[in-house]
Amino acid sequence: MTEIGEKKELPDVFIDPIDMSELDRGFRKEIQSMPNGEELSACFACSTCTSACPIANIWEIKPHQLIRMIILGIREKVLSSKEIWLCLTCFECQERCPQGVRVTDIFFDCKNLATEEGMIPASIVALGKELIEKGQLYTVTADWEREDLDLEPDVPGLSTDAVKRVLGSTRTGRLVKGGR
Amino acid sequence: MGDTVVVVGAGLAGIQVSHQLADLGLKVHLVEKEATVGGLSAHLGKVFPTDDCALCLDACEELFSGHHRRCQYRSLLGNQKKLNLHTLTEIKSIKQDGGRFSVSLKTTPRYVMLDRCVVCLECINVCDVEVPDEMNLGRVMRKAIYRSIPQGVPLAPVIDMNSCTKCTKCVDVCKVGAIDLEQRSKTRTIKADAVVLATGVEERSPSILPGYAYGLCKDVLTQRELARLLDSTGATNGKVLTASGKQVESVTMILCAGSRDLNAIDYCSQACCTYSLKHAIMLREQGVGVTICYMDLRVPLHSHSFLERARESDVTFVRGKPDHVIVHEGSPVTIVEDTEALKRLEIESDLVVLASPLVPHAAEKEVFNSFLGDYGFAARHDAPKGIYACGTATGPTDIPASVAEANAVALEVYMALKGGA
Repeated sequence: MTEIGEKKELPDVFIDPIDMSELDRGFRKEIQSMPNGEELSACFACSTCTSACPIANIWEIKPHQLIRMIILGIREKVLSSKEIWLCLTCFECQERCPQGVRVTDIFFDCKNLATEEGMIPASIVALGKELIEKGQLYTVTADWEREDLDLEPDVPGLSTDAVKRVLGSTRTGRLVKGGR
Repeated sequence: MGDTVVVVGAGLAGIQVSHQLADLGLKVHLVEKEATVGGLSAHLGKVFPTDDCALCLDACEELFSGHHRRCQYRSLLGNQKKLNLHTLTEIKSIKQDGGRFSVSLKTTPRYVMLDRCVVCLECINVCDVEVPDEMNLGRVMRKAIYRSIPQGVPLAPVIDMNSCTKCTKCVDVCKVGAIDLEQRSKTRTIKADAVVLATGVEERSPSILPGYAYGLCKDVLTQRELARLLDSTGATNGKVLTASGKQVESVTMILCAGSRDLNAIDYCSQACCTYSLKHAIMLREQGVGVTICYMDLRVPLHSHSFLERARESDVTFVRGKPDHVIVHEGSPVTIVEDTEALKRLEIESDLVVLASPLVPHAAEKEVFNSFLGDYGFAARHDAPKGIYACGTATGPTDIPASVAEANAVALEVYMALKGGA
């Protein structure tokens, strides 16, 4: 457990100065126009989302910072961040937000935007490929265990054809084929 | 116009408005539902801006003669001719008829007659029944016949009939025959020309915003409960101990624990930043380490000295709102993101204190509903309904603002009834 002992030395500059010319002022409007973005600008940066997040302590950019960056219009950095993809989507931040900002849903919006612009991590595309090809993310790998239990090697009645077919005609399908 | 005013609630604002009106020559009925006056302030021990005992803040006519501090227990509340104090009394109904009001009151029995009791307190000494004292978080015992605040006005004790065994020892020991165990509730109706709501606020239970382990861990308290521990007339003479009786060495305070939150109370409770700082300074004086976790510090300008003194006395400020408190080996651990250092902290401390939201008392009672606006707060003067309000009944605020508002409303009422200009 971390303890607060000595009075902490505060740095002279908390964050590097923002270059105004690199800001995309339309980004906030873009997110706000999405179904979950309405309350975005209600954020007063209390950081409840970050202290609620079970994994934010390993993130370089914390949830409350991401929301602030969206409001400021630091578009490139948000959409190319690995954090929006690391989100567990447990919705803790969204439920605890005192201002009703739909934090997790906004990260979903960011993921969709990032995908449209081709900023999707290869690992996520690989998962999509797995889904399209196998129809499920977790296939039976240890069939000897099933054998030990006197079960047949394949799960009876399991059909993933419909999943594969439907997914193939969605954006996931296009992504896997190399499109957007 | 007549000259009778009913003031509902004998907290600081209610006492102030009643004194002012009585001094101006009006007839005042001051109605209080508890056994003693003072309201929330009586729980607080020291209060700002002057760090005085709250019981000393009752201003009266001496405000104008230069002595603006005067103890509630030495005040004229009980014996001013124009001022009738009704304790243990609730408002049953307020009916309007033209410009007049008909206010019906119900007084629950005290079982001790105020006009006879000489406050020798022999009855308390002789009582055998002991129950946990709510006023001191149940950490010490009180008798069935007791005074919840030793200096509370009226000074006479009250009998808690839920725990009284009717052994009549107190009746026998009382040499002035002041105790009547068969006393009954009384109702009466007062014709009034004006009604002033000074119903005040109370601390909302922190369970309104779960996650802070309140109720799970006995060392998670509210600021009011901490004030009871810090009160020099309290059970421990102002020494802060954990529930298990250990001397507290570190305290973490969580501000806005339910205020400014759409999931709980969405307004700012206004007074909590400053009283948290006041408590932090008092704890530092005892050598206790204090960490305050805040979103913004909304300290009004007239209380900025508290912020400066807290900084000077090495209170640690963490900018970030904790999301949850976990209980680790019996002590509370606060999880918070320090947004200045961008570091997640897990702060172990002996005590976690929550600044719970202040919510209006009046909203609980149906009889006041038609006079209340947003969130259950009343307007200072609701002209169509002819009702006045002052103090925290109009919105959470600190004591100086409450008293100032009470003065303003007293003059407004006087001008409306007497037409002075």
